[in-house]
Amino acid sequence: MFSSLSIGASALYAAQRAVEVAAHNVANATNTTYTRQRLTTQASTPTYGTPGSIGDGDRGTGVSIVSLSRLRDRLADVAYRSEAGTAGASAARSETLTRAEGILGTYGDGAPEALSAFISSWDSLSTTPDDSSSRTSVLAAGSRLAGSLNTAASSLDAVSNEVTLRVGDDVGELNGLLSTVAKLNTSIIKAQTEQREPNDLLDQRDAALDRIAALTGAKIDPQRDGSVTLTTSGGTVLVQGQTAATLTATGTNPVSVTIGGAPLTLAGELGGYISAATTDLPAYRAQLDAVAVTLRNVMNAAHASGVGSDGTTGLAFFTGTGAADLAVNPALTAAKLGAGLLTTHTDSTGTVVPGAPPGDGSGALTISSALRNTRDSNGQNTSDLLRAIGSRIGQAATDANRNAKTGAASLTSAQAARASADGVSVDEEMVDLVKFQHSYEAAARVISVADGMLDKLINNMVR
Amino acid sequence: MRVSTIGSYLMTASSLGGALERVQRSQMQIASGKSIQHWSDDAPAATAAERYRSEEADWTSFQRIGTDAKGWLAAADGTMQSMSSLMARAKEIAVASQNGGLSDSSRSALADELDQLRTELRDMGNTEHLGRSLFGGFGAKALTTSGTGAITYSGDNGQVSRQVSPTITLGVNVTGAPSGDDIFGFGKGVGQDVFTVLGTLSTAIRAKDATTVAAAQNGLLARHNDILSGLAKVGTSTNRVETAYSAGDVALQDLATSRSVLEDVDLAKAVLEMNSAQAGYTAALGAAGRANLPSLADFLH
Repeated sequence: MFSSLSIGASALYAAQRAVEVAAHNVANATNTTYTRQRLTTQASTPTYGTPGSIGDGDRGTGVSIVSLSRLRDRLADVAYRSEAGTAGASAARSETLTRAEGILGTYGDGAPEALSAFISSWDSLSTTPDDSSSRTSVLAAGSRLAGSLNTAASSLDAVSNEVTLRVGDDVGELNGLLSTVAKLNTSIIKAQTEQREPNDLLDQRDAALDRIAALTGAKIDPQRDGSVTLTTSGGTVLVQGQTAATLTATGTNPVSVTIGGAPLTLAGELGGYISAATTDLPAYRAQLDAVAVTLRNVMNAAHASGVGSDGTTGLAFFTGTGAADLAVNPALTAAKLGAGLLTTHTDSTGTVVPGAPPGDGSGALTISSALRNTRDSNGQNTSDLLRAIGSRIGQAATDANRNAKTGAASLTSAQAARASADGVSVDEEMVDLVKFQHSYEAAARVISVADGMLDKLINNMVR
Repeated sequence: MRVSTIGSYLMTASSLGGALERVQRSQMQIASGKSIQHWSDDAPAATAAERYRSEEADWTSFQRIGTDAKGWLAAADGTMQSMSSLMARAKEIAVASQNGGLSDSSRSALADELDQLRTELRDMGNTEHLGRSLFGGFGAKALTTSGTGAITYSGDNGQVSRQVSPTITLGVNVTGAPSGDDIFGFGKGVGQDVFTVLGTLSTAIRAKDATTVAAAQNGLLARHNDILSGLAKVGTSTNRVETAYSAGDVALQDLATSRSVLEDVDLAKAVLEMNSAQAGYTAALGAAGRANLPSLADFLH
């Protein structure tokens, strides 16, 4: 008779716990890092029936709780994290290249247009070589062109510096995450030895692992004791058991990540930033410098033969060693510009004086045609070379953007697939609530019936 | 597929984001009128469009130079046409002076007119264009009159060159330089230049010296031919400049069209795209607003 009471009690307890779990699930329904939990119950160990009486089999003793487990899909995790690493790398690259593609200035009104304007200013000077405003215009157009290349170089350096800062921030975040994982490993190992199910700690660790995967693309190996080991694609251990490595962002322009002084190869967002900073940006910078040097050489060679109105000849137009310091020769004044080719002329008093005649614009013609027609071994003239930089970065940015878009889409679908397996469905929980509410009512009824029977037996039996 | 609450929120958010991005992109294209705003919007098209733009800048420059070149040639042409009429008048005077019935005073009047023509021709020779001597090369002044009244060439053989197309660079001036165009005949021997011939003719008419007048007449004819060949040179150059200029017009139009195809938004198409993107966004918003509302919780008591 009393066993009915204890069976009813076990059912009440199980139903209460199940409602509690449903409530916990509903409370975390919109928490992206939460994994839904399930209470698993089974019939408790039966006792023997009445000895000697066949047909009175084992007697049930009610319900007991077996486990409270997370419904986590391991495969969905693996898929999500691998996509997160790829998407992180391509997003970082796309972000960097999109910033870099603006170095030539506004599209349609940038450095290539400054070069066109510079060539046109020489054309104008060839028609009015004695006009001082034409001469000043040439110097101004030259400064604008040099300035646009200076800006391109400094913008590229600025992008590189931003990447350095980003990598520094990411490394700081990563170190925090690695030590979090190591600490959680400790707690989880302890919980498992104590036969507890550390579901919410596991969720916290999974959230940290997601971000680590996006940052580094590191490989995650679950261990038997409940801890996870993290290794990079190059085999360097980041977290093992309860110890985490500390990473350092070193150097600027380009930045690198080291561990104990040794350089580290990473994938993910950090890998994307580092590969952009070590491969792409320096290549653009080198190309920019090469164009600046070509422009300077072509211009100076043509200008050296020109004669100024004061007889100056052989002066360089541009000074500088690259895109960053290209500048109009400060020694050059309007009168010294090599607009002419003749070295002497007769002035109004009939005296022969040094300097190109006021009407001689042949030097300017030579220069504009040198700028247009001097071609390198690939048949590229100065404006082709300058445009090629915009074209190259633009193409790289296009590819990177496309990859980033694909990566983001794959990540979204991996996330959806995982959410579909791990996420809480409020409707399901409501169904569970109804189910366990009824189960609770029924158990209460069982107790009430047992109570009635006992009442009958104890109080109402008349002697 | 099992649908979790967070999963459906995530999908809703990502589809709303995508729909809004499409609306924004087409809005920006319509607002700017350009389908390429950054190199990465379409790198190959952007490169081609930039090349067209640079060629357009070149041609615009050549057109401007062409206009300047036409100005020089027109000035030379106009002045030399006047010179040519002046020479024709001088030849008429020479013929008229040979009429034996002329009185001394009539001959003197003819000689005076010749002297005036000589001065006029010198002033024409010193014509300036945009502050530069038209016939003096790079010199400040083409012709100088000495104290004795003799006129000499004081310019040089400077070629005023103009680049009027990527391939055509040509001289747009005519000079009086003996080693150059020599339109005044200073290189044809002592006393053979047009001013000396006119002076000699005037003196001979006053002196009634028929032999010298006849010799000077031949001189006049030769000098007139020099001016005419100068005119022919100007005509040829003008034709070349005109041809280059029209080639530039055609090139500029072609380049602008090609660039527009690459860079400019097809407005009708873009507006249609924006409408469809907007409709998509509105639908996504409506769906999101309704889809996430009800749950079993609403129907339980």
